[in-house]
Amino acid sequence: MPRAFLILPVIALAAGLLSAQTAPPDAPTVSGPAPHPLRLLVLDAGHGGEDTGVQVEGGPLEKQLTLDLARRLQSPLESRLGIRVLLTRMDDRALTADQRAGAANTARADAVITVHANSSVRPTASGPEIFIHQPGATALALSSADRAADQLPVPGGPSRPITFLPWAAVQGEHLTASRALGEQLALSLGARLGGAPRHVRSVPLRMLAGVNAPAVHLEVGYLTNPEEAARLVTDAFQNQIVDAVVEALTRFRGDAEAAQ
Amino acid sequence: MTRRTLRIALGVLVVAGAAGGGLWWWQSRHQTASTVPTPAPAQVARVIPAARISATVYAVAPEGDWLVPTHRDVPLAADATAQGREIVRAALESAAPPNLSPVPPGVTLRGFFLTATGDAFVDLGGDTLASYRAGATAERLFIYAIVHAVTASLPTAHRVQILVNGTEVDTLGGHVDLRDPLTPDASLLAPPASAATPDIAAAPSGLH
Repeated sequence: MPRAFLILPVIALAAGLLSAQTAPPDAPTVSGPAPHPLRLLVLDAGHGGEDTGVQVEGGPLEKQLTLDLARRLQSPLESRLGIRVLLTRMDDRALTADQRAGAANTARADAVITVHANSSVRPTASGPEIFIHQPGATALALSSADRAADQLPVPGGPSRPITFLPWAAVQGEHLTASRALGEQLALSLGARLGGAPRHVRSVPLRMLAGVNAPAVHLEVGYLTNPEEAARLVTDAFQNQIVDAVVEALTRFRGDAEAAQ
Repeated sequence: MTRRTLRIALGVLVVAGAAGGGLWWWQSRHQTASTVPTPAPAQVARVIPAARISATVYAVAPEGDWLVPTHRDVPLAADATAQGREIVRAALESAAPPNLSPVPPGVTLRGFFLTATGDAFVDLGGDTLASYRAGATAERLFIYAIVHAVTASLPTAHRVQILVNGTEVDTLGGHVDLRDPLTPDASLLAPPASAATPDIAAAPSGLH
């Protein structure tokens, strides 16, 4: 599977992050080598700013919980895995889905985890949930055969092939690796937190659609379950999540390196 | 009896008759208005009075985050678009216990359109959606409950595009991508062992 990197989107999204504008609808990507080993992870703390995420009376705000967890994950992942970990936001600010995806793409992330807290109409619903992206109709309509192939001039060297992909279709290049990452997370979270085995579910996800790397949407637990909501804010529970994510990424990285 | 007395009596009779007649007219009008809602002109033409069909709509199972089919009686409409409107209205109604409603209270149907290629456009409204906050699980069940209701009950509908207040939106709560029309997701349906729990007495499909 080609590891693509971005040219115009890098510029467009770097500017977009500063100017709070959305990413361009179509983004060119250049065909690259096989998937990189895990060296840079981007953690996205879901929601932020006016977008509070799930809010249950008397419980924590989702946007604050996700930021706390992302911050808590950063150092252990860097020290225990020896990788760089970047956060899409370090404070309480609103970011669009394209800004989040653009931040990961600009940094050339090798993997992305967007952290969320869940809600259900069932007050007893509990446990983590893991989702990966399911391409929508637009992305599916663009088969490999339809992709425009062109030559990109390279200074001081021969031209190299360039493949144009719509922004919404880019995650489709990474679905196998995204599922592998999701399954490792499901395994580790299930073992650490207990409960019923979790399945990785495919859903059309707005933010992950534009991520140019293996990417997973992690719902750490249900804020609509009062007991779980109380647990989610404790150090002990959050540390278990950290351990599970470290363990999952260790295996994911090992598998990726073995496949090289 | 003098002529004056006769005139007064006649006057009283006329006034009493007029008052009685007026009261009878008002009561008959009031009863009609309270029991038979006056339909909008478009509904008169497109909904067949008295005829009803059983539509399949979806609720959240009490024991897990998946959708279970339930049945609702809806008016039989004269065409697929009008029928779709009735089906979505039923899908937005509260589920009967023990099932749970995937749709937040206050969500309304603003419009429903069906293209010749099988794309259904469901235009939702209501104050709830302006401040909709949910996790991925609740949001997914809400959206797909509508997608499944439309595609299960309308054979000509294959995909569903959700609109909010007449315009396309990226998401409802920040998760599920609504930029493209959605197709049913069989993984959301209850396993075969979990039989459908009817919201109301299950009725066979078709006229009754």
